[in-house]
Amino acid sequence: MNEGALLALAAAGDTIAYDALVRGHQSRLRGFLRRLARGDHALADDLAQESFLEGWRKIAQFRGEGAFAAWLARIAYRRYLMWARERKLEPLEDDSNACAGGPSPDQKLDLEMAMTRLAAPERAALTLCYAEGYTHEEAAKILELPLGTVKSHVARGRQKLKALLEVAS
Amino acid sequence: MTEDELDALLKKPLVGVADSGFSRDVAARMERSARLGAGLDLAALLVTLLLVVLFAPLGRLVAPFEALGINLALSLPFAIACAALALSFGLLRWTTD
Repeated sequence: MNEGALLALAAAGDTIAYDALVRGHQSRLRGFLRRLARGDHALADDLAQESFLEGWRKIAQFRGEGAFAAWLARIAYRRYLMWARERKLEPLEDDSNACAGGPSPDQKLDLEMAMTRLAAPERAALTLCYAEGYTHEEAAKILELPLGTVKSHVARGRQKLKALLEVAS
Repeated sequence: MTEDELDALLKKPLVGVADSGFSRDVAARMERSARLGAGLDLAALLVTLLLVVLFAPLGRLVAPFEALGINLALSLPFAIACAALALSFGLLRWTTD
């Protein structure tokens, strides 16, 4: 069954259809949240569960403008920001020091470590625009930020990452 | 590191996350949430009913219907109308059989 049909069934209250959507989207959403949560898997999974529950409550509001994955990502990002604000964490914090954990032989691991040094909107914008393949416009909708702000987050994030990865290597 | 190398690194898809019971947990939370919602609905209904029973002037609301019932029971035209209905229904059944 295609995603459109599953969405229509879920909007009519079919829990089995929504369960199929959860199974189809869980990996992508949890991966995105793990990066946002700086590798804290338990936190990322909690936020992902809450995001899917919110998605279930609001599924009738999904108008099909854009992908369901992007709609879920917007809910998840909002949830992450709420979590960060409740704990008085500064989601825009900017720590430009080099990776505290020291260099790693694995470049991918270096990237993950370097990512933890970026501010949340930079991490989110880079992840959405590169790893997830969204356009800047789509990322702006997900992050609920102006297009220009997203572009500057991407550019600044790239600069910082490059510097951090060069230090690490 | 060149810009192209950084691009290639960033474009690597995120590591896939195995379900490992995650979707089952979401389904369980959805069910709990639905049960809680139904429980709250029922509680709200019961509280409303209790308030109606306690504070609504039921005696005054029911009195006109009581009077209407008694008047209908004592009314000859109403009795004739009921009898006519019963007879025509019986006749109809008899003709169709």
